[in-house]
Amino acid sequence: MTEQTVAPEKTLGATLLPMEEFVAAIYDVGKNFYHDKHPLHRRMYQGKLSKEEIQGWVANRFYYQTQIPIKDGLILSKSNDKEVRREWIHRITDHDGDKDNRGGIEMWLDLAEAVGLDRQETADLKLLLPDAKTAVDSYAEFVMDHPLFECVAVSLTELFASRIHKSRIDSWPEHYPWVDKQGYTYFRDRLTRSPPDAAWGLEFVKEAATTPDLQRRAREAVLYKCNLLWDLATAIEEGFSPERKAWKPKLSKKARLRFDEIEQVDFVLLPEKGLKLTENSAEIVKRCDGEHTRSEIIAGLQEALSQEDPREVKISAMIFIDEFEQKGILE
Amino acid sequence: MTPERKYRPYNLVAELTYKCPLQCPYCSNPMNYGETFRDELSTEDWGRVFREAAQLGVMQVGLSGGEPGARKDLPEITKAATDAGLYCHLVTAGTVFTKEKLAKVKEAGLVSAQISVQDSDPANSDLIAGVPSFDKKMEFAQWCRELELPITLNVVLHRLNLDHIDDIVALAKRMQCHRLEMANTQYYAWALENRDLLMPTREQLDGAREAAKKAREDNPGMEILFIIPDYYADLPKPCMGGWGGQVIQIQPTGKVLPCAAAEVIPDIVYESVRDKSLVEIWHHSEAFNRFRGTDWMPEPCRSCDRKEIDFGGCRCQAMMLTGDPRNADPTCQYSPHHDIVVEARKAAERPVRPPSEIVYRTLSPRAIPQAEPIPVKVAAT
Ligand code: SF4
Ligand code: SF4
Repeated sequence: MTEQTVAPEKTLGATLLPMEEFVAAIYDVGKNFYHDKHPLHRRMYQGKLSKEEIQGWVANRFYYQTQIPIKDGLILSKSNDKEVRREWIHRITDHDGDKDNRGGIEMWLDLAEAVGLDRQETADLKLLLPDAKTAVDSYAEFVMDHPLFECVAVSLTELFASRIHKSRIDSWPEHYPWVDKQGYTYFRDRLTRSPPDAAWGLEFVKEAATTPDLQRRAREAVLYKCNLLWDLATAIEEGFSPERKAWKPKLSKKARLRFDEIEQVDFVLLPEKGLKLTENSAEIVKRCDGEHTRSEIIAGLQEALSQEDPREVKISAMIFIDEFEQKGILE
Repeated sequence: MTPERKYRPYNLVAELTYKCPLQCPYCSNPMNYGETFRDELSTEDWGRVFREAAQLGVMQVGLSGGEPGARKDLPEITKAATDAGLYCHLVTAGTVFTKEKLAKVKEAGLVSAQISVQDSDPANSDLIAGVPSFDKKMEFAQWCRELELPITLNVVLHRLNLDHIDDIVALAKRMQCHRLEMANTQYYAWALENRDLLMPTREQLDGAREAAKKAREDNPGMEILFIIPDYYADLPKPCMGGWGGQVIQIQPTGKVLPCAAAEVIPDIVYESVRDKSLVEIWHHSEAFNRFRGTDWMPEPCRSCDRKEIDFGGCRCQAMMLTGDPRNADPTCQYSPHHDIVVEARKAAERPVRPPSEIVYRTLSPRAIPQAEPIPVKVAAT
């Protein structure tokens, strides 16, 4: 019998962690909460998205691209160290382009065309969903409200980005052969630009995170960003797939939830096997009663687990529900 | 942890009857299965057994056989198990049902059904089963779908079907199975009689393993199990959570075993639920306690750091191949008897009997020469 767990929580801020552990805690945020585990992206790699969903993702994610140079401009204005500004400024030209480089924004519009969208309509944000806009707009606000240290820490999600770009390059040609290969330039371009940026950011944060509180705030910033990307993915998933939005998960016919008196834990029983549930996972499964949508389930869960970070609860629960759906335990 | 807590059975295999219209040449039922026909446990007996099992901590019961559908009281038995709080799973060849009977069993609480098919090719499936049966199985699967019973497809693998993995997976998809179990033949009882006809070559096995791996990647929605015969592995698998660890097997007459093959160990007396409660047998019988813990182990297991991981492998296999059930499972590379397993692998590369010489599971099989002892493997859960 195996055990299912909701991603463990790392608490920082009490004592100063040794550098290795601090870095591991940052990577843990990526492992547990980065959007590569979002059901939208999982379905994307598995070739399960419709053309409309792919287009919807490209069109909405474009708005995020447009905001990157703006937030980088704000970050630039926070540093009185010219070395930092010299390092940071290329992030703006990476996206806006210059005489040697088309720039990430244009490359993303190439991708839009490659998936069959109209370049101008995409640039005019014709397909932008309100929830996607809300998620993305919070980024510039965060940067305005926070000091340089946290703004650099926010960018550390770049540490986890290569694998997501890589998986798109790997899986798209097979699953979405109708996408013009010219469109992949952005993903390829990020594969070379992203790692040095991430490495610089990590060194900066490591050097500056000299107190327990700064360590905690660094992790918090990374979590903030993971949550933003997560909400963006959810907005796109629900915006372009009404069935997913309306889905009310329930245990499938082969699964039974049972409380075990002997070990005082809940089990999900399946043909020829049983899964022992942690307390939090049991809370999730019990709410999957076919009467509530995923977002209702998560709202209830966040209330019940009010001592935990609601963002972590949400992301962990969505990953858990997605895994159980994959295994045919929830339907 | 008290011993009462440490050994908790989660799973009960209830062999309701050894009657079965099929004649699979690898059937795990005892050779003298016919002797049990007049002496099967009653509906009430099973009801009591299920309640005692639940008390011990059993959560799931596999209603198995022979062919459990051959019991007229299958709906009543299913209801008794459900009432005891057990998750009921039917293990059937699917040829003796009517849709009405299946509906009754479902109504009585059945959650899922496992259908065995002998091959993806209908003619070959019928050849291996010994009787025409493929079409009936497909009809049974159709009823399962209509009644919304989740289906597991089970195919026992061997030389005669091991090259058909792709077709088997395609069949499972057509049947809308949520789970596909492909386990290689375990060589005891009837399979032992047919060993030289059923043992796959290494090449076949490698090909099948690759095909299964690919099928798993291509079909994330289906749970695909591929269990290799352990004489092609270098370390033993933990057998059913250890002897008397997690599983109980009860024969049609009420005899209680730690696993299907356990009777190969000659000096153990297995007790019956007719004489004692299941709780008593599980906790206190000599049979169940014989190989619990690690104190009984001789070398090399005694000083091996895997002894709590694999419990020294399979006792029945150790018995059959080395003559002493306490020895390390000879599939283990540290076993001084490991060469027997290596030899068995080589034997599979030699020419074999033609399929026309299958020894079918029947009440009076024709006499055939006694085969050499070869590895046995007990069903993993
Ligand atoms: S293995 Fe074949 S013969 Fe034996 S019980 Fe199962 S279906 Fe019947
Ligand atoms: S020596 Fe015994 S305990 Fe060690 S791996 Fe082999 S069978 Fe297992």
